[in-house]
Amino acid sequence: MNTTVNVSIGGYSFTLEESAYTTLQAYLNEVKIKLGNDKAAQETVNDIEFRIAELLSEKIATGQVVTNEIVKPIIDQIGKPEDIGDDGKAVGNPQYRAKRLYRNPDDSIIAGVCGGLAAYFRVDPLVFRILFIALIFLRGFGLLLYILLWIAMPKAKTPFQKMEMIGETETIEDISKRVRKEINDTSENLKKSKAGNAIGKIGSLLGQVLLYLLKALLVIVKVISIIIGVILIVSMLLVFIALVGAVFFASYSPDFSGVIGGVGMSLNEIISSVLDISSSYWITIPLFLTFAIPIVALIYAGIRILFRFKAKDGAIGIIAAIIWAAAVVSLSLTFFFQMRSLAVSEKVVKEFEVTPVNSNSKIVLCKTYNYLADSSLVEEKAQFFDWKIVKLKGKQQLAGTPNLIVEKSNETKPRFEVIRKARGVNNYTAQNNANDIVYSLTLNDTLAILDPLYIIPEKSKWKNQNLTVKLYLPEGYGVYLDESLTDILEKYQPYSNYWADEMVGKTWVMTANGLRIAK
Amino acid sequence: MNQEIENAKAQMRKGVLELCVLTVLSRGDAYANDLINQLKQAKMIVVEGTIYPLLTRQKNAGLLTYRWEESPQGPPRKYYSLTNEGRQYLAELLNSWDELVEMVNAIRNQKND
Repeated sequence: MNTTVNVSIGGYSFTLEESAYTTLQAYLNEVKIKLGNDKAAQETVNDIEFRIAELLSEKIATGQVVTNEIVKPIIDQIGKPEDIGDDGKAVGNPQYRAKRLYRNPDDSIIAGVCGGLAAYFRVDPLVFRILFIALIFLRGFGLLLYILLWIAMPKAKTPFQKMEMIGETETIEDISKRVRKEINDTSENLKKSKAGNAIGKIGSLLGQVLLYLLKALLVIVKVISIIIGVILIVSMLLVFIALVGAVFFASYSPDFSGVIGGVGMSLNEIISSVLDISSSYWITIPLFLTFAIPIVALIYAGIRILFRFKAKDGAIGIIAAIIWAAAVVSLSLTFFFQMRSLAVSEKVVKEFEVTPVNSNSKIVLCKTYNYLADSSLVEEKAQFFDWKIVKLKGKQQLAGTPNLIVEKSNETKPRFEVIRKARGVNNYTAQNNANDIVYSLTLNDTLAILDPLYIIPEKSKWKNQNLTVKLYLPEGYGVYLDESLTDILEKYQPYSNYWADEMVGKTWVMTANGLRIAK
Repeated sequence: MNQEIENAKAQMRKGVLELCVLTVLSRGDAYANDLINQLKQAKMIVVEGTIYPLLTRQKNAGLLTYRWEESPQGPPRKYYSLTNEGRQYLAELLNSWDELVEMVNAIRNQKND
C-alpha cells in the first residue's frame, strides 16, 4: 500500500496516492508558471482546479483513493501547460527572472543556506561553507547567522522558485523534464522504502521524532526572533528620536551620564558656540549619520525579522555603508583638526599682592558674588564638565568655573596668583588664548572679591581653558572663606584636612602643620 | 511538414475560438463543461485547458459575466452568460468572419486570366 495524501482541490477533499499527488502538484505548478502570477491568472488556475475536482469526482466513487492512473488522463484531457494559454498571450504577465534568495534543497548539508547563497552569488557553495565554519569560531557568530538565515530564507520548493533561485530563464520543457525526473525519483524512493525491514521502520520513526523536535525548536527560535525583532524596533526607534532631538533640536535630552546635563540646547547649538569650526553641521551631520545609520539598520533588521518580505536591499545597504564610512571619515578628520588646534598648552600668571592698609589685620577676606544677581548675565543654558554656556549681555558665551586653592608660602605677605591656561595650534596662539580669558579679582585692603565665572571670548572658542586662583598664605596669616565660595573652592585643598564644603563660612589660619580653624 | 500543418491548424482554431465561445453562449448560459463538450464536438478544441484563460480574459473585458450554481455532484459550477457588450462584440466578430470567408473564397475562386 502506497502512502496517501489528503488534499483539498477546488474546495473538495480527495485522498490521493503520493505519486498521483506529486504529478498533480507538478502539473499545477507548471500551469501557474505558464499563466503568470496576477489576479486573472490565479482565477484561471482556480477554474482549472475546479475542473480537475469535477472530473475527479465523476471518475471515482466516494472515499476511493485517487491513483496516478486516474490523474494522468485528466491532465491529458485538460492539456499540457504549453497548450493552455490564450492564443499565445498569457492571461497575466508571466512573472519570473527576478533573482531571489532561497534555501537550496538540491545542494544542502544542513538546511541549504550555503547552497542558496552560492546559487544567488553564482559561486561554489564551498566558499560559504568555509566562511560559516570560520565564523563559528568567532564566538559562535556563524552559527547564529546560519540560524537567522535559515529562518529568513524560504526554501525553494517549486520548480518556479528554483528558477528564481538560480535566476536563469528556463524553458517550460526544461522544467517538465525535471519534474518528470523528480516524479520518477520519488516513486523509486517509495518503492525502496517498501522493501525496508523492521529496523528501517524504527529508523524512520526515530527520524520522524527528530524531525518533530527540530520543528519544535524552529518554532521556539522563530518566537524568540519575533521578540528580538519587536525589542529592536521599539528600542531603536526611541534611541533614534532621542538622537534627532539631542543633535538638532533644543530638546530635553536624556542626561547621558551627566556629560550633557543641560536642557533647552541642542548639540548643534552647543558645538557652534564651543568649537572653532565654520559650521557646526560639519560635526553634527556626520555624528548623526554615524549613529543613525546603524540604528536605522537595526530597525530594518527588526522589521525583516518580523515580516519576511522580499526586498532588493542590497544596493541600499551598500549606499548606507558608504555614507556611514564617509561620515566616520569626516568625523575623524574634524576631530583631527580640532585636536591639532589644541596641540600646545600655555599658561599666563598674574600676581596680586595683598597689602593691608590696616597693618595689624592678618586675615584675608575672600568672597565672590552670585553671578545671577548681575543683571547683564542670564542663567546658564548648558553645562558640560567644568564649562557652561551662559548668556552675557544678550550674547551666548562660554564660561567656566575657576578653582581657588589655598597654598602655604614662605614670603612675608599674602599674595594671589591668577593662572590662566589654554591650548592652541602653537605657543603663541595658546598664550593668546590664555590671555584672552576674561576674569577679574578685586583687592580692596584685605578684601578679595573673586569673579564666580571666567568668560571665554567668542573669538577663542573652547581651547580647554582653565583658570586657577591661588592664595599664598604665609604662616601666621589667616583667611576667611565666605560661603559664596562653595562652588569655586577647590574640593581638595593641599594644606587642609577638610573638604571644601566644610571649609566655607569659617576663618582658617596657616600654621606649620597647614590650615587650622581659627580660635 | 506534418508539424507545420498542425501548427497552422492550431493557429487558425485559436483565432476563431473566441468567436465560437461567444456564439455558444449566445444560445444560452453555459458552464465550462457544456462549452467544452460543444466545442469538442465541433472539433474546435482538443484540450480543455485552452478555454479557461480565454473565459477569464473575456470576463475581465466585460463580455461575459458568471454566477455560481450548485451541481448535483462535485464542486459548484460557474455559469457564464453574455453581457450586452458581449452581444455587440459577437455581432461585429460574426460580421468580420463573414467578410473573411467571402474574401478567402474570392481569392480561391479567382481565375487566372
